[in-house]
Amino acid sequence: MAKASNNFTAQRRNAIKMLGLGSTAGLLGMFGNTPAQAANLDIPSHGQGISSAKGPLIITDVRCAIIGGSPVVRIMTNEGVSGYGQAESRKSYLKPYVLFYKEYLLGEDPTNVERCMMKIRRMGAFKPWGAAVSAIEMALWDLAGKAAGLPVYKLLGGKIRDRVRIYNGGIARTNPLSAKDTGIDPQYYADTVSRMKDAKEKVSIIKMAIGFHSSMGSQAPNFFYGDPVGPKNPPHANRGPLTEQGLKRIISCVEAMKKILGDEIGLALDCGPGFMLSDAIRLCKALEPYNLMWMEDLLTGDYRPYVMADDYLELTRSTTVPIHTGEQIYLRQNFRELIEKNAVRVVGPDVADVGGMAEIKWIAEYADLHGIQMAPHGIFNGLIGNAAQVHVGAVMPQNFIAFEYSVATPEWWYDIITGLPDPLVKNGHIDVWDSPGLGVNFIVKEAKKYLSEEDKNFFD
Amino acid sequence: MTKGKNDFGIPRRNALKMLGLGTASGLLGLFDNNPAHATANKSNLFANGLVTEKAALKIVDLKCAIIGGSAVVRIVTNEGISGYAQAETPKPYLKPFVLFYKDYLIGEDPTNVERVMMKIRRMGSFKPWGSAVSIIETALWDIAGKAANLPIYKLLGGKVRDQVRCYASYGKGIRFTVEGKTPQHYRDWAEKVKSSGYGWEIIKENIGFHGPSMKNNPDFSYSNLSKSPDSKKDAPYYRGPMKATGYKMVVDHVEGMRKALGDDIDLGLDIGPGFMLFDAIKMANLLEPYNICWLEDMLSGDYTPYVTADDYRQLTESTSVPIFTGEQIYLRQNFRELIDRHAIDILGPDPADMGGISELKWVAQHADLYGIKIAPHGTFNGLLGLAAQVQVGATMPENFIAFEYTLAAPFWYDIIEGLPNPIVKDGLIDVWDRPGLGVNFIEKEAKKYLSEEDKNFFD
Repeated sequence: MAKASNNFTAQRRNAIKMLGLGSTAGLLGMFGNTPAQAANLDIPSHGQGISSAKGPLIITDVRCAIIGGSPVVRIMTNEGVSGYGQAESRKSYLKPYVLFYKEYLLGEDPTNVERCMMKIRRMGAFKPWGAAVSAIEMALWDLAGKAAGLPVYKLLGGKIRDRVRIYNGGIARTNPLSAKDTGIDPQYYADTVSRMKDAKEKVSIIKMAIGFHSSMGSQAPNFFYGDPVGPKNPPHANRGPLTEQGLKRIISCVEAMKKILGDEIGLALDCGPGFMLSDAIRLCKALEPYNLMWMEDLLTGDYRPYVMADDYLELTRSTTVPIHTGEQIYLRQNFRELIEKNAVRVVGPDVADVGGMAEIKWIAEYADLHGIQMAPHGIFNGLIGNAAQVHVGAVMPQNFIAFEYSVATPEWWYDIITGLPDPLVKNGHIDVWDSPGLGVNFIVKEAKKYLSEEDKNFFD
Repeated sequence: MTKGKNDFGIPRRNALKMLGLGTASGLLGLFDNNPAHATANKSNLFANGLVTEKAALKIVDLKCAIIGGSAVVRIVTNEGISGYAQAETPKPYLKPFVLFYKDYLIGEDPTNVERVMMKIRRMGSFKPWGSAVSIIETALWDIAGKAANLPIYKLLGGKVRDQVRCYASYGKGIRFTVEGKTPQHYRDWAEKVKSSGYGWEIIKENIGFHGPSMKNNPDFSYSNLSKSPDSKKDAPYYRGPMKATGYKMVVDHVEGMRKALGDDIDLGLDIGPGFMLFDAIKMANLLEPYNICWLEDMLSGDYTPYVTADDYRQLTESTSVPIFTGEQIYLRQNFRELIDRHAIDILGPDPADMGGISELKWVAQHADLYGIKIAPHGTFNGLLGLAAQVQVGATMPENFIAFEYTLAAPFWYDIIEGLPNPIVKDGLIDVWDRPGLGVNFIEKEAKKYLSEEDKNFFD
């Protein structure tokens, strides 16, 4: 259950503290030109930012704390204003990677986001080694927005939609019978999508893990011509030729889900990686009658540090099922072949892995130029990640389908972050908000409770 | 002059300790390379060694120490054998990245190198984030070789050459700077190169966007990324459209070097990344008269986490100068387009960045299938990296040119034993036959260079 806080008093107090501004002029600069605007954080000010008042902002520190397993970046400046970004939860090992970039950023003006990024962008790589650069980019935009008194979407070209569509993402993880219930049978799939269909978020698209992306590889009997890998492997390690029983198992599970969802809710499948090219083609052909939204990562994807555009091209040309990949891919250069050759129908970069918000927007436009759709990944990006998705989702072209919604864990995340709408999701969408920067902030007093000894000075 | 050690007293003692063997039969098995004796001697490790005699080896620990700025990995097994390998020197920040993979390795049999690598290979990426995986791979081969009492090259298919060629690119006494612009300066430079004692057949110079003096020269390019006034650390590279004066600058230098070198020595140029595609084509065409053996990383390369194969293909097709890239590229999958499309003439993967030595051999064979040559990068790979290059260099197909020689800080030659002395003769290194990488730490000496944090590295 999401418990998005909407305490504007706390938010205003925090924002002021964070900006380190004691003067009324500063207050006005941040919160608007009129008392009416100042009283309502939803209305940003324009052109009264910190940089114009006090000379350029300078980055004075880059910090990283692990909060609830999630690496959080804080970029600090000489004016007291800070920007925050967040990488995928459960990746506490990323902390030294974030700090690696610190010395490149010290002394730079964070409001020239691109100039900062040109220094460090080349020093990232495929997932998860682009996450630190991406979270830093997010934090720079947060700073630039706060400094200008503008929501980030205004700095990315302006919003073209007032609400951003999500797909189930983390809702799938909060709705199974139990956290460990990852079934391999049609009944499990039918029950799970049924619960999600009824969930309060009222999502219009549901994506389910199946095939090598689910437990089928390790638990379904005679699923593929290979021996399932043992424990202690990185995710999605099974790969090999599919058996006929494996093929039929997937088909029967899809059939069961479609019976529940009908044509009211779109069904997408997160499938791999792990399929051989010919098996991927066979499976897609077999699933054509079910009108799937997309099939994701059949050949490469999650934790595969390469793209294989020519193989995807062959797969895409072989079927009417939209083929999707992209969550592991870092930077536009690595999307180029997929897009320019129309090797996929949908790309799913992750804002917290691809190189950041401006990078994903550029790729969305490049994809649009080629008639390719966007469905950004982001299941573990947390609340700051959700905020980044909303801002950049608001500016993407009409090829945008929906982004993968993140449900924060542990649940106390909703007690330490302020600025999100409440409820966060309405009818499968999130309303775009207008507070400066990413528009979400830590309630420092509450957040401090969850800092480790090592990180205890993170908010100081 | 290098100070490579060849004191067999030390390696024998060390190797014994390392193998945890106290018996005379173990000693014989290890050092008797005569095949007749090996067959006759029932205690020989090769025939009757650790792997079959005892239960399978198991990895019990993975350690990383920073020695002289270089991340060194040690994989420790239940039988007392350890494998070592080393990442590029100026990268102490790699330590947590190496340790990241530890949990995946504990309990695995290191002699099934590929099985271990299948667990972690996917978790690396373009330079420098493939480095940790790559050196772990090489350390696994070191163990596998020691356990089998075989040099690594025997486990990679066997050597096809007895000497491995290397080329000079970096380091005092190896590559020299042209100290001025007069013909005399170039002659002096060429004289130093030729009389350095290594007998180089190939020398590589930094120039253009890869050379600090040129890329910072306002007459070189239209790149105007000025340094931020408060910036603490600048971006290492520029990129931008070339000026006419920039082309002239490069051509003048190359002409001077070529005249001074004569035809005795091949000249390669590390020149980017930073060129726009058309500028690269023009630059390559302007350099055609100077018999350049390769132009490296013109479009992408050093610390650009992508390949841009179609751009390289256009460049390669536009000129007779061999076009070269590859040092930042991780895994065969990312070389595929360069090779399949004949987008490049020469590939320079780095075994300490691209996924390891068996990965390098595989890519070399793939390149050979397409008539593409191979000249592995490795200028900062240190002495363990040098040993890895010799082992894999001995096994690569006939498309192999030379690997990039690495010069270590002087103390390294006091703490590593097993290298030939001198290491390089006439631009070549003799392949040695000792087990694993065949080079080992002289622990007593090496311990002096461990930080407080790493003081138990060899324990």
